Amino acid sequence: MDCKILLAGIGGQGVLFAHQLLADCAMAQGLDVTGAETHGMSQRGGSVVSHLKIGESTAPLIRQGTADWLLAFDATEAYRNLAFIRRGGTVIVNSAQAFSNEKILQQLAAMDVTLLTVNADSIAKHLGRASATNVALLGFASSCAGFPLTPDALRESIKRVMRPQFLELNLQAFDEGARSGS
Amino acid sequence: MVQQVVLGNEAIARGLIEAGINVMTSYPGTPSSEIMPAVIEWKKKLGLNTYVEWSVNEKAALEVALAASWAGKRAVVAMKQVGLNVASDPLLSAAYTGVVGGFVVISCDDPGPFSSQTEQDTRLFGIFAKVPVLDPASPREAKEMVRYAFELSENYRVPVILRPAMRVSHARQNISLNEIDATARPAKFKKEPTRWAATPRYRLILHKELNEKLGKIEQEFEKSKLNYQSPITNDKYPLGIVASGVPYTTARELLGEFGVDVPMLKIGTVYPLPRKLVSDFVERCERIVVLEEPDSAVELQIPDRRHVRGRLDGTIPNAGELSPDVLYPVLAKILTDANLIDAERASVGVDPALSETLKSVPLPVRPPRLCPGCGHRSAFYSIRRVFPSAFFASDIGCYTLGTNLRAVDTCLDMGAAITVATGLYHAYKLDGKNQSLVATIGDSTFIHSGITGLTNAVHTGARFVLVILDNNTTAMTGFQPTADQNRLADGGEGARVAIPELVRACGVKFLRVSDPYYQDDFQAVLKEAEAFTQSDEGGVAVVIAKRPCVLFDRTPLDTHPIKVEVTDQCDGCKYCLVAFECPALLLNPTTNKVEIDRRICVDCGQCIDACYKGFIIESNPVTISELADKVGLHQRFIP
Repeated sequence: MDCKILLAGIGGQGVLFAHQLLADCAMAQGLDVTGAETHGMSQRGGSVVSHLKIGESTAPLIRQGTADWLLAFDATEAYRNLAFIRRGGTVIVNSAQAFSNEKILQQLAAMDVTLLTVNADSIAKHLGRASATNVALLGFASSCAGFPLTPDALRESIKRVMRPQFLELNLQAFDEGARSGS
Repeated sequence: MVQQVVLGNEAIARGLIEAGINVMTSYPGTPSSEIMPAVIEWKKKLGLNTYVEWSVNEKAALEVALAASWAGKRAVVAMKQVGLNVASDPLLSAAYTGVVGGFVVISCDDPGPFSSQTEQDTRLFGIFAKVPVLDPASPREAKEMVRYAFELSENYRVPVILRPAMRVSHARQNISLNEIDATARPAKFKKEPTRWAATPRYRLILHKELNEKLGKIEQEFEKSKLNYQSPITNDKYPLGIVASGVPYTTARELLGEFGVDVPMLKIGTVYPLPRKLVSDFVERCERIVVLEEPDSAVELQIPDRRHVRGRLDGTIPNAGELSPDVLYPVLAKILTDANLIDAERASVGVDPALSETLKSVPLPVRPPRLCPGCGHRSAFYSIRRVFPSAFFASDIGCYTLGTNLRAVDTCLDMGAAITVATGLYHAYKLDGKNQSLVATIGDSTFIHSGITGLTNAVHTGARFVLVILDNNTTAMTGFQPTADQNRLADGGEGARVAIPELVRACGVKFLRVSDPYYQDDFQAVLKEAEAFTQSDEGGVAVVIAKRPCVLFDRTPLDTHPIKVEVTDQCDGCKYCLVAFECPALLLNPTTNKVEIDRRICVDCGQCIDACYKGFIIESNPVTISELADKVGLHQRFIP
């Protein structure tokens, strides 16, 4: 299986941690992973993008127009990275509102792109832990048709990777995200 | 086999641990900084007897590790590519003297560049220094190459460079954990003056010896598994690709997307280039394209370049990273020209209509900025107020972002704030002019390369104000300790080398330590410093702006928070947004008033001074009686 996932957000939203969870989960299923992260100067409050490839490829970056999935932790970062999505791909945006740019919606429809929004911020806030947004969004993504990793497998990864004191809340956020998707 | 998903730098660290290194030295710098912490983690986890140090600079780091190798230990030094400039003096000499225990220099390149002042190519440095270079294309390969690098170094008694590019260092991949080499390597320095203390006469002999070693190494590389061709074909072919590093993996994937089978020769051992292997391949292809970054180390070494295209002739862009988005149209053209694909297939990419629409979507620009609560911001703000017409020479670190506050005019290389200020002083003095000059440098950078420049400035009678921005850590690269702390790399206790003592030892006659959070006091100190530079007996005046990095040490903010609010009188003049430039200050376009972004505000209260109209105020100002208690909580960071 070859799958390309682009994760996009702002520094501090836990984009890199979400990337680690997905990579760990894929590896646990015997799949190879290669990805790329943003570090250093660009991490100081800036846009954060991380590329993840599950499968044979050892090239770290995803080319524009070829990502199977775009997971956007912020709506503006979704726009900024929309060019990465391939025809027939799926875009998931953490947002309270639906995408409103008519022209873009039309073009995405013409490209057979599925566009889904989930209010992961609200799920996390509701549970009293704003930093669980990333996990809630992953829960939602994993419940979507065709996502390469199942909710059960990702749950196991969260248990492996997450520090114990935050585990319970994050699992709740994950499940809540998964429920709002299915 | 145990598998783990790790960062490229962590894969390299694991490779070092498996190679049984005895000594590791490093100076932090993106994209190399994560190698040392990962080595330390394994050292602690496995209880290994490994000596590690964050050295004061790359030159010291290389020399310390090299000497350990002369004593028979396996030693490694890690740095970013511009660090190798600082360490170049011992590196070139070490190629001649040779080594005893395996000695590997890891120098991480930054094609792009993403966080460096140049896009220089370490592989070219290897050619210049006559030091063999290995160029990994992925974390997995980097880990394999580490072990081989030590074997090569010990077999031929030469330093070996491992050159991971940023996309290897900061790639994430699953790797296998292998056995650890537990060979004992007792320290045993054998006197050999004609080598370790060679005079020029013996240096000539050593140079000839080095050339012989390189010849043998090239022969070994001819057969190395780190170089391979795929698919293998002995036929003539219209097009062949020679590639090294990350561009190899990128091109391999793009060729798959194009659905063509172009033979590729992957080069892992870039210097000395196995010229026979490459020439044989070149001869079998009508045209050759070389893919490498950031410069042209492989291409330059190909003996017959008549049919070779690459970065040298501009077929491949000769600056910037060869990302798949850059390489795709370039390869499409090359493949179309060679009649391997038709034009229709070449155009498969981003939907042009979508990219056109996306261009018209207004998006917030998110440039890198100093963090909310950063003491550097307060220092720069005061510097701007006290020195309205100065030139500001600055340096390498977080505080280069002082450009946003227009308090940084120059940034050349580590330590150059002081020497650039010195040069500007002497240039204006020649014309009889008294130009106001302020230099700013971080604590770690001052210890790295500022001391020699300061000695030079004092000795030559330069006059300027030097502000040492001391935040108690090397913040930009991940909070490594500096020599000004008594904390060593692995958490052990070291001796503190105090910056004020270093400053005085450089001959500086004016030194004040001041907390930039107390802006009135800090500005008074700056004025005093300026007066000293103008006085008869004056010279360089040094002000140490001491305030811990907010990310590194939250204690002072936690014990003394100052919550602020913007009053209704705010008239949206934007002075605070421009002059103070804190990410937590936002202009609400609807009300045309400034608001505080509570999600990121750290309650430092520093922006109160940034509204000269007094519209930013403390939310719950304390009463006089409370003040006495509160003053007790004040922590000024002055030793």
